[in-house]
Amino acid sequence: MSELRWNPIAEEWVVTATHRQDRTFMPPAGYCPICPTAPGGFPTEVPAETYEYVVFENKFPSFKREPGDPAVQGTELMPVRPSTGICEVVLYTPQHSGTLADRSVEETERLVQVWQDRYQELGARPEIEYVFIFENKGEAIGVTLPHPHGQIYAFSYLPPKIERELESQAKHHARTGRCLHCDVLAEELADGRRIVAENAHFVTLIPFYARYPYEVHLYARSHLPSIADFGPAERLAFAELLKRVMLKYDGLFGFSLPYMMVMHQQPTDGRAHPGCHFHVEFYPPHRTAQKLKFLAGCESGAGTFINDTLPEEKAAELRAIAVTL
Amino acid sequence: MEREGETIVPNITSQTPPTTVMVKETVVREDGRLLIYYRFVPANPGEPPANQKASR
Repeated sequence: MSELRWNPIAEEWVVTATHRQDRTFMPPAGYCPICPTAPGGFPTEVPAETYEYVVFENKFPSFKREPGDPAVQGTELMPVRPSTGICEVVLYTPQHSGTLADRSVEETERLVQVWQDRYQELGARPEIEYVFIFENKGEAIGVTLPHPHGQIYAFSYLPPKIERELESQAKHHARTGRCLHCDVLAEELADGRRIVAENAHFVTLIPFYARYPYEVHLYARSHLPSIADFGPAERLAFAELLKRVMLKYDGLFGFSLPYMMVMHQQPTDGRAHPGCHFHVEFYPPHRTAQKLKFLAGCESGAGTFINDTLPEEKAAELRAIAVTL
Repeated sequence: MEREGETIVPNITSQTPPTTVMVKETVVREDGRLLIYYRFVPANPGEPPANQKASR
């Protein structure tokens, strides 16, 4: 069963997807359902011996192209609607172990082309209003399959965090005629203390208002609304800086750092959103090698994050980690 | 499985000539879910423009 239930108090949809309770959870080595199918081996999600990149629709999706009937009927106050959408899995490599940081810059540039294609193809569907590209990495995040992969959720509505960001952008644009993100980036560059790494086309920084100690944001220097606006030079520069950030993360504590990586960009709802500016946000839960940042009472119940660190100090820490691409 | 076709995907907002082109093969599984293979092949100036469908 899968449906959207409206919370009129928070004014947001909640997805119920009961079939996901039975999804594969940390299978033993040799039984990974998203590895390539080995000759004579058990059939996996990928019936090929190898590949460069594979995308497939999730077997346990939160949204479906053709969702069934909801489990319950809604009311006028608390409506229910079908959980229309598409959930895709993006396999970064046929190798079972490793991470995206292990891929070369050139290989990651090709992944960016895959992301561009998915953004365009999914976004072109009339029912899809937002293409959300993301990766959950590491057991600390709740990953259920360790094989290196990311995900794409094609939403039939604007997710609340995105909607709020769009409202901020629109207000700033109406007031100043400028892009909010361009202005934030300009202030960060002028200040410089929170910059982590940069190249010709992109900048990474821990924002002034970071909620997690090592929350890095990756911004396009130019006002590029979406990943589809990248040309070859931007693709390569983006891949280079993604890898640089991930290697710096892995150099922090001597282990591969878990994170959530999310991409914010222009909706595909057909409406004008002049303030949209492509950027990536990383949320690593570690605040030290042994301690995690939990979303506890104040974060979960009041919606206010408490950051136990100074972004200026954490950015300096990441800046000081030398990496070799 | 049904093979939907193989498409050479054009580079998006290309600024310089690409050294490879992305080839995409879409398969529809028996349960209706899509499976898409992406591979990258050297760009050959003698081939048709990248936005034309490739035949196999």
